[in-house]
Amino acid sequence: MESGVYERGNLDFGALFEHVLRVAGDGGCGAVAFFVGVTKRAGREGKEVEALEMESYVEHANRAIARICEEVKQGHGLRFVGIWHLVGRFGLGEPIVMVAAAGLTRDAVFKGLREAVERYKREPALFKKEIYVDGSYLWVEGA
Amino acid sequence: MIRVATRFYAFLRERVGRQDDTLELGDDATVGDFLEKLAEKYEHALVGYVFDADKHLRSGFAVALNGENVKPEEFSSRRLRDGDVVVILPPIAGGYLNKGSLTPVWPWYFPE
Repeated sequence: MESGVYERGNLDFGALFEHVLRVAGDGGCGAVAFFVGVTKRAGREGKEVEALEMESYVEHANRAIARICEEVKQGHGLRFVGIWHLVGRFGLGEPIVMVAAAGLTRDAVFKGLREAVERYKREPALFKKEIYVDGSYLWVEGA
Repeated sequence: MIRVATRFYAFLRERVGRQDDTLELGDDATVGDFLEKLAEKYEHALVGYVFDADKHLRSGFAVALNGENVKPEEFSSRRLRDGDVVVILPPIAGGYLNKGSLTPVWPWYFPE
């Protein structure tokens, strides 16, 4: 369950959750935090989203994600940082990304998680398309 | 001669109308040479959009060589090899490119 980009349907977020808890479960961590990005109805310019499509230049994204995880882990003294991003077509309410951070203190964990989330939205080659109920669509920033 | 591949993602793919391409360049070609040749080949789709009228890459677009970002100041010095992959990355953050405006504010990461 390495961090990186996965096709929708090829990753079980529940299993990931358990995996991270196992990694953090040797007594050396006091906190684990998770972020899950979910497809929402409210789109750009007040439009209603019907679906989201995510695509990726996977070689670039996987390198960037690995780098973010390592740098955030080192920078905040964490035990573990993971980012798993799906690509494909998603309906409302579907999760598209999970980020996890585990470490000794909640302060470090929250800060590390936030940094990892902000960075995955800016650095890896992930591209998002909002498809609206009126049939139009828009490629938007901020995976 | 060397062959260098490229891929088109997101709205660049829609504008160009294909997913990928391969260009032939001279043995001492640089990333800059590649971009110039790409701008020539896809002038109708990319000039005025990804490239300005002088066929320079507009700010807001990054370029990746084999999966790693290349700094714009290195385009003219970074030599390519046969089999390399050069990709123009549409904005990951910072712009409504479809509307023709661009607000490039993200910090691209460049390897040491």
